[in-house]
Amino acid sequence: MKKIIIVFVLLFHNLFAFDKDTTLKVYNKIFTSIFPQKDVINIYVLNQQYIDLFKNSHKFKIVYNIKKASVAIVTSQKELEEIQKIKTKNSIIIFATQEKLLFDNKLTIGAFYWKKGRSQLLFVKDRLDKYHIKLPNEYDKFIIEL
Amino acid sequence: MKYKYINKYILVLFIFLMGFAVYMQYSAMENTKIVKQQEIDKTKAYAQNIISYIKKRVPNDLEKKLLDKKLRKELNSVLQAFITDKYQYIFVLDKPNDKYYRFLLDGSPVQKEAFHSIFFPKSSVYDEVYKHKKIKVIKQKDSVANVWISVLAPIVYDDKTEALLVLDLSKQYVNYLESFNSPLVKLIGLMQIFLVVSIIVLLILFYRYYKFKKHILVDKTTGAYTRQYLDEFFSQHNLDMYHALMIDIDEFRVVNTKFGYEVGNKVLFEFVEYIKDSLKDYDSDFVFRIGGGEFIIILPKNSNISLGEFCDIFFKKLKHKKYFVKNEVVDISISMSAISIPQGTTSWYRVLRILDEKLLEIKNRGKNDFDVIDDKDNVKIKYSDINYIKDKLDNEGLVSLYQPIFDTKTKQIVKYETLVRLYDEEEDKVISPYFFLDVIRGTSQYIKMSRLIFKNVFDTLAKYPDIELSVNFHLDDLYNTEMMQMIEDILSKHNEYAHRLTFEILEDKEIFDYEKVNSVFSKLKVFGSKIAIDDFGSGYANYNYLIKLDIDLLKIDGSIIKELLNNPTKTKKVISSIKQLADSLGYEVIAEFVAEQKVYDYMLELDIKYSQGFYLGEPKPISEYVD
Repeated sequence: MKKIIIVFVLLFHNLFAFDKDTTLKVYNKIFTSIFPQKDVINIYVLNQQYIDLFKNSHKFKIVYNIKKASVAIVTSQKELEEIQKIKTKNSIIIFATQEKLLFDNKLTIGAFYWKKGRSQLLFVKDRLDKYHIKLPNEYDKFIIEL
Repeated sequence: MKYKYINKYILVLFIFLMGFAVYMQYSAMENTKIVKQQEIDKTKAYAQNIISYIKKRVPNDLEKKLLDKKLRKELNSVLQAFITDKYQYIFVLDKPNDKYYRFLLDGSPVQKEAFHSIFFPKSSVYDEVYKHKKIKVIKQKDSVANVWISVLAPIVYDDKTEALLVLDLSKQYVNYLESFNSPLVKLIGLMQIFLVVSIIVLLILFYRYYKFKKHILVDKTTGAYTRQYLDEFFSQHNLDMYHALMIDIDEFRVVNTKFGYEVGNKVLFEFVEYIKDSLKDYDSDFVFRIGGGEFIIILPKNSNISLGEFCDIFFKKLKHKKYFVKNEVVDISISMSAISIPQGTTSWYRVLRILDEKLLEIKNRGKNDFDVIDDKDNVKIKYSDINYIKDKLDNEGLVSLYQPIFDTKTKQIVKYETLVRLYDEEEDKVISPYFFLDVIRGTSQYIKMSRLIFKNVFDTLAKYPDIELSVNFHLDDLYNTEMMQMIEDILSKHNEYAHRLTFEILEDKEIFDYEKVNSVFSKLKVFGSKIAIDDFGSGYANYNYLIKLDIDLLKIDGSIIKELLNNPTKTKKVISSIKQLADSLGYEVIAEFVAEQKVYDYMLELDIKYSQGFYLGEPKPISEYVD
């Protein structure tokens, strides 16, 4: 029993381990590819863990007004719903941190999350097309059609 | 253990320990590698077992059958049963229409992936396993959290891969495997640190020693090495690989007196610099100062020039060298002796003595010259080496020869004088005590040699009951308690032969304590032995002996007997007077060095009772006279 508890504790710990360096590098690369012309990318994020992740980056600037944001990172259904309530002139790009938020919401263009210890990056083709986003060829293998 | 080898032994020990530490580390690493490989092999076997189970449970159409939630739940439970701290994740993927990998089964107890949810990467390795249907092991990158190794096993139906089973071995487990050997690895690490620190400390000590050594081993005045270094040099190098030269600046005192010590020191410095410069062509810079104006030069034998040629050139160069000091031209001359150190020489001091003797000879004949010691002189070095003598004494290299003493009138042998020699097997010749006796006197080897001589003497007396022997006995031996005890023990043991033995007392110093000497003589006479005074008429063997000592025989010194050939009239008178004196005191007289007929005739004429010499009989093994 003791062994099982230890296994569970370790598994939970591992599952929610948040590799800051890798995550920041991946976001940096993704958003630099989406916004190649921008030196600083305004990012709207409400989750404290992600605020902490981006706050010290020179590439990203956290904005608290979604109208000023180039991209919004949603980490939960609640955040997604709140963003959807705010109508902006320019449709904002939404990027998710969960697989579910990508598949359940048509406004989300892609997601970056962890599955079985491996980083998972997905883009939905028609949503990228909708926003006229052309990603470099190296991302082709991450683009899916739903 | 010889001192010169200690550094080598320490170095070898350190190399051995370093090698051992590296080997241990390698072994520990190899061991861990083997254990890891065993775990990978086990995982492969588990994968095959799980696949067999799945195929047994779902014999065909895996993906379709797994649409059944109940079956999925059952198989997920099977996979979950394998989840321990060893396996991080176990899951089954398929790749429909060659598009994306999707989850079919997931053994994770929490965060279980949904059926058909997409799984990346689009890995070429995954595709390879899918295509080639062969199990594969992937070492995961650090970016893959908590997974060390992934084992990818194809689930094949009818020769077609329908799915992939993935077993992820956890990083935690590999850490656990590595921890098996960690105490040993730590110990090896500590050992390596200790060795590295020790080597650094040794290097520091060596450097400090080197500085200190240079300080004490180089003469400040001349820049030549000191005598200490010379001794150390030959404790670490074989003597016989070198030529040695001894140089003495003739009358160097005069330079000091005439120009002062400051100028004298400058001349010495320039002299040494000039020698060093001259030696460069001969692969040597070994100039040692062993006295005020005395130097030793060591030259490797591998030079392209013979020692004689070298000395010739070198002496001329030094002879013509002028020294300019304070506007003065200082001329110096040198005397030089040189030797090519013979093969097998082990004592540097013997070489030094020979060089010194030769140098003295050069100085006595007028200085400003050189001599190269030839092979004949080299023999002295070989036979004067205490190790050589010791070896001979330990290995039955001591021989006793016997020279007969004749009744002059009857020409009948009455006695034999025992003469000790060493036998050189290589040269097949006997070695005179002239070479070795002084070397071993006062050492344990001398007692050992005396014991061997007495053993030979008593063995001879026992074997030949009709003969008498005399044996030489040094005056110093009388004062040596150990020697006297040994002789008394031998005489007691062979009491029955002692009366046929005469002790011939050799001496090279004056007797002051006659009472003590007489007391020793009395002890010897108690056993029946006789006492003879050897070399009477020369040195310290004087008339006092006749008055104060209780003796039986007088042996007239050979130098007096020899004079019979040069100056017979006076010599005969001297011998005659000794004979008359001996007769009046009741002592018998022996003449030695009777080397030819004429001398023997004089002995007959002078009525000398006993004669001994090469004319009558040479020293030989006793068997050649008796048997």
